[in-house]
Amino acid sequence: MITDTDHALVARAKDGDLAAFEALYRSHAGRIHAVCLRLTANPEEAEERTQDAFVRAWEKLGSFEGRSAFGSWLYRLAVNLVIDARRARASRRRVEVIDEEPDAPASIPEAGLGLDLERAIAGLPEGARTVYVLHEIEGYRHEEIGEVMGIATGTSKAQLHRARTLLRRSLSS
Amino acid sequence: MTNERHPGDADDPRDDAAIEARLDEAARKLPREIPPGRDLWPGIAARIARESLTPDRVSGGGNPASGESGHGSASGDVAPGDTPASRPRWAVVGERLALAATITVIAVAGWVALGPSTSGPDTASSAGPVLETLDALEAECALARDTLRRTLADGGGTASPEVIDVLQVNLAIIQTAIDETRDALSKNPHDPSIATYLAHELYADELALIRTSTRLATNDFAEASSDAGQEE
Repeated sequence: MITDTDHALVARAKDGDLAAFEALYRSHAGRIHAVCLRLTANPEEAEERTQDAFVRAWEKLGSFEGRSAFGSWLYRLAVNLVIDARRARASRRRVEVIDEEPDAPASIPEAGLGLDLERAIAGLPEGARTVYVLHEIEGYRHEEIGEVMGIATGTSKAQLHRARTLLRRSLSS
Repeated sequence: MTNERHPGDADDPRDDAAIEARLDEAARKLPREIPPGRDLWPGIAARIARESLTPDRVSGGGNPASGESGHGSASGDVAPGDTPASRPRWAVVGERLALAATITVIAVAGWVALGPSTSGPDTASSAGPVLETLDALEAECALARDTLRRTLADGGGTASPEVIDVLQVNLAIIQTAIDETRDALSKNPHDPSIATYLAHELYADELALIRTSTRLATNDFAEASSDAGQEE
């Protein structure tokens, strides 16, 4: 973590210094893109959400008071953007996340992601994938997942159990 | 959840535990960073530059949406009542796209009629960074165009022919504006205002239109409405 550097860059960016904000982008793009890619299992959407996150961060820099690390704030912003976009789609399609059928295998690029687990995660149903990524990889608690996804804590736990069951099968087959 | 047995299910609890351990270990080893396949900064910079010109549409209805204070929504998205309920969404989006394209054409026409600004040494030297982003933006637009072409080639989702027509017309208008500005840039290569306009306005407009078009073509109305609203 390069929080001290981030602090100075954020201060400059708040004054409208776009070069400072670009430096923040260079520092954090990999982390933000990683979570967007795992949550969406769609490279094109992941890139769009990553861009959205940085544009939104620029817009909202004034509300960032530095109580947490900039990276953490940005990361939460990105997760919220992905979840909000998905929620909007889900509500239009009147599909309950818990009842979704597994997606078609996602087209996550092979380069740099050679692990079987990455592919297996990408192939999980959307709700189970989101809970697994947030809980097992990103360290969210079930209460936090419930809040960000708008689901009950018990549903989050059930989705995690479902995800782990499906991943176990995938990895052992 | 299903109770079906699967060949991969472990009969022995010890096997199950071993697989769980493998799973946890693999999860721990996953990289925390995955760089995007391309540089996303030019697109971000273009959107920021464009939106900073009209800050009133940036505030998004006053939702602070700070990730710092928890998990509150950070996206703002479509304001309630943004789309009149009595009209089809595609019609509203189409009108917004047409308005955006019209504004672009008027701006280009006025700019061409008045002629580019006379560049002094200071402004000429500031054109460099903008010029550097043009190729990246053009590549990004090309990628987005390919995505839209593939979408339309696949039948354009369930979008109506009227929607497709509106999209095609507006994209053609934007492309004409870009071609004219490119031509002006080739005649005045040291004028930073042309390159800046091209990067921050036209390519940004084209990117927004293409992405809105792709979403419309895949029937993703709410996001398309939101994007088109930002064109106003």
